[in-house]
Amino acid sequence: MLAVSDGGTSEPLVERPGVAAQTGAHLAFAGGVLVSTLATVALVYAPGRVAYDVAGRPEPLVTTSAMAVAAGLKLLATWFLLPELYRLGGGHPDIEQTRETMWRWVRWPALGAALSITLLIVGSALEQNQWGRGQAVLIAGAAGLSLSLPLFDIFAIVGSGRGYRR
Amino acid sequence: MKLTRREVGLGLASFAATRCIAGYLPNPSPREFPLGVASADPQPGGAVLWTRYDGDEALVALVWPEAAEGAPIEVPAAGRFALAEVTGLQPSTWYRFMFRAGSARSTEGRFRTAPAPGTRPLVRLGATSCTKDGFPFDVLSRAGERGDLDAFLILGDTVYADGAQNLEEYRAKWAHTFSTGEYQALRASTALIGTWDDHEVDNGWGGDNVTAEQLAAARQAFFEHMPGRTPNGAQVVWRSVRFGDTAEVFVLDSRSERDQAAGDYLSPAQMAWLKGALQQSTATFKLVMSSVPIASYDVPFFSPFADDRWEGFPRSRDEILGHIDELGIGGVLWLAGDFHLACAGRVSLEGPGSSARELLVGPGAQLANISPSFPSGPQFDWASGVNNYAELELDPERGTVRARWLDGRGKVIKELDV
Repeated sequence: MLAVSDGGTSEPLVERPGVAAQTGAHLAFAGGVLVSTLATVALVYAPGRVAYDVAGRPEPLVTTSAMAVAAGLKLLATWFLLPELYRLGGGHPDIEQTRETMWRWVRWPALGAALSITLLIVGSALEQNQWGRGQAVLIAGAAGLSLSLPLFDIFAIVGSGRGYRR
Repeated sequence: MKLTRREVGLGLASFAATRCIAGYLPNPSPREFPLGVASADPQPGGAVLWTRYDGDEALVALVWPEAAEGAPIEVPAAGRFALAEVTGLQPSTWYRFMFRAGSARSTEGRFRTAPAPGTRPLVRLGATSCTKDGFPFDVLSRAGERGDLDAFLILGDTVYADGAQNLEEYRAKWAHTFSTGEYQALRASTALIGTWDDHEVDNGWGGDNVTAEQLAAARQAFFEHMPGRTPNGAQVVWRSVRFGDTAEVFVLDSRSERDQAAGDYLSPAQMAWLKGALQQSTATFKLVMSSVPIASYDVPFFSPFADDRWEGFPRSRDEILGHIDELGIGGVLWLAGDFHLACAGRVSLEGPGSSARELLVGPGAQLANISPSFPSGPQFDWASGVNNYAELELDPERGTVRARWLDGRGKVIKELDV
């Protein structure tokens, strides 16, 4: 698609992609979010499973540390990679605009997820050699994460979609 | 390995006797004896023998010393779920047995009679819990391959009869589980001492949440398939089994006699028996088989299920633990299953039971406990979710119980002295 002018007397006109192409772009982004979430789950599960197989018991600190790493990678992917998927819709989408709008939507869930993961790490550290001491904190962290993570994904889709349409 | 002349002689005699007894009989008949054989509750002079017999001929149990130093003893048995109590045997001696009916015979089983009163030999017991049909039974295979366990303790959830409503459905669940080669091998390998938990009746059963008819059917099916000494034929689970002066195993019924309204975990009769028997026991080790743990698991991940165990009945729990503490009854070791994890630790961090220990055994064939954090210090020494059976080596001379948990490959996953 081309950006054309009407003779230099007004703002440039942007040839918008067709509805089908826009829908494809939205679906590509949503699919990217889904894939990143599945990858995050796998990244959390795998080290915990390995630790379990070695010790015959769960190691909360391994799992929560993996959560921190996986969540960080997901955030980076959501920021850097996923908005680029809107290029699949064709034209010259303003990716920076998409990214900034998305961030305005996801920053609070992201902060919530970060705090939740911090709680999970603190809780699992408290569980070391003092069984039960960190479990209330772990439960608070898990509750926060179970709320903030889906919101992060939903808001990323909504926010980036709005940024793309501008 | 060097064999003495006596060992060679005994081996040859054993082989000859086995050929002599089994030789004139046909091969084992799984059609007439579909669930194999079992023995239970050994005493110095005998044991209870069991089989399921699907036939009409007169049934008899044949018992002979494994070392072939005696002639076979014939003990009459009757009924489809046949029990035969053999008596007059030598203490601390391995015996083999089978059932015969007409031209059909069962597979062979073996058991060791209990040590005589006044003796204090080393006693070795196996134990597990929670064996759900559909999960690999390799733990049971490994335990069944052992030839050195004086008895095997079964701490409940042996079958998962959830959903069964009538006697035939309960029987079908038991038959399905006990028809497996692994269970038949284990049950034939040594004497069993068993109790039940909720899944023999229904998931979460706690005494009053199934119909009377359903409970009666479940109870009958349990007693049909899990042999044990019952007073005057009454269907009562709780009892004790003595191994000389080394150990006494107290088998509790932690399910069917609960009274939620009164806060009784055990019936008054069972509680009075347990307190008195513990007080009077002269055994070095007093093993209390409670299908559900008595240890305090007062942490957020386990508290939601406290009503299902001793902790949900604090008066009963304090009563028995306080009784043991106040009288200074030594050598008490609690054994439990149910939690789908193996564990060793103190019963309580403080208060009643703070000096007592509890071991959790199993699961034998189940999913591991789903808690994201397993018991650890300072109250607990160790825990694992690997399917397992435990071996308890009771050494009265050292005054210790060496506990080993073994996985489905026969590998020791934990060993510690209690």
